[in-house]
Amino acid sequence: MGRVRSIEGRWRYIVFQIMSDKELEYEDVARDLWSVLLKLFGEVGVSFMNLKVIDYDKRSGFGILRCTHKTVDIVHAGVSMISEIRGTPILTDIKKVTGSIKKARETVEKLKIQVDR
Amino acid sequence: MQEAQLNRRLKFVETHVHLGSAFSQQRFFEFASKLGFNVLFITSWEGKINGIEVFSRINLKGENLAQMKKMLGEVREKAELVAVPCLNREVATWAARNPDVDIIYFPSIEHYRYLDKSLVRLSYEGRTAVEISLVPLFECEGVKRAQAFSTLRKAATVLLEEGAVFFITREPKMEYELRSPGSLIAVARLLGIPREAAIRAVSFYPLTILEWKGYEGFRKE
Repeated sequence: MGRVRSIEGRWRYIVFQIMSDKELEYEDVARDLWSVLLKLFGEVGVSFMNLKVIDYDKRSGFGILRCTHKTVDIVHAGVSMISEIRGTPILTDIKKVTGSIKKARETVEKLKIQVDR
Repeated sequence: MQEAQLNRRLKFVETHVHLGSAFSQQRFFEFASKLGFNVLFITSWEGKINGIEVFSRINLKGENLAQMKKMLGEVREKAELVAVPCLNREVATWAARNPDVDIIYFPSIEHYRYLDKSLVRLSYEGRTAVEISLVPLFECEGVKRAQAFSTLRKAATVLLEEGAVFFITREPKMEYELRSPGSLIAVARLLGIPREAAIRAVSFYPLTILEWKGYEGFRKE
C-alpha cells in the first residue's frame, strides 16, 4: 500500500538559525515569527502555509519550521524579515530545506557539531 | 526543495555597507562570512578581512548637479566604486550615462519615480548599475511597507523588462542588519523578481561591475 498523502500536500521542513546576543525562548521565537508573517502576508496568506514551529534550541539558535511545499519561498522571505525578538536584535539565516523531519533533525545535529568545534 | 541552497561556487556580494565605529567591525565581517558573502562594497573602507574582499565605495553627496560633478572630480581617483544618489531627474540622467559613475541608487522610496525605461537604457550605455534597496521593506510597517512593496515591484518590472544590470542590497549598518544572499533572494522574489535574476543581482552583476572596472578573476558562473 502506498503512502497516504496528507490533505495539505507535501510538507517542507525549514532548518533555520537565529543569531543574537541573548538566548531566546521557544515561545518568544514562535510568537514573533507568527506575528511578522501575519503582518506581512495577512491571515489568509498565513493560512495557506500551515505553519508550525517544530523545534527551537535556545542554546545554539537552530530551529525547524514546517510549512507546505508551495509556500517555502514566502516563509523564507518572512523569516528573513524578522529583525528583533522581544526587543533583542537578531539575524536569521535559513540553513536548509528538507522533505522530511528526520533529515531536518539530522541537519540540525550536524550544524550544532560544526558550531561547537 | 533546493530553494534555500545556493550554488557554493558563486560569489555573493553585499553592495552597500555603511560601517560606523560604534560596533565591532570584526564581528560584522564574521557574520558576513558566516552568511556566505565573499565581497563587500563598503563606504570608506578597503582591504581584505576574514577572507572577504572589500571594495571602497563612495556615495557622492551634494544637493544639485553642479555639486555632484565637482565631488565626482575630487573622488574618482580615490574610490574603487562611485555611487550617485538619484536626487532628481537631472542628476539621475547625468549619473546613468556617465562612465565614471559605477552605481546609481535611490536614497528614499519617493526617488524611485526617476527610475524609468529611458534611465535604465542610459545606465546600460554608461555601464552604470542600478541599485535597489530593500531597506523600506525591513524598516517600515503597515501602509508604508505596502507602498514600498508596490513601488519596488514597479521598479523591478522596469529593470527586468529592460534587462538592466542591477543590484539588491539590505544596506546593513550593523551586523544584525545583514541578510544572507539566500534571504535577499527570497525577499526579492516577493517583488516579482525571478530566482535566477535575483541570484544575478547579488552575485553576477556586482562582479560584472568589478570586471568592467578592471578587477579580474571575480566573475564565475
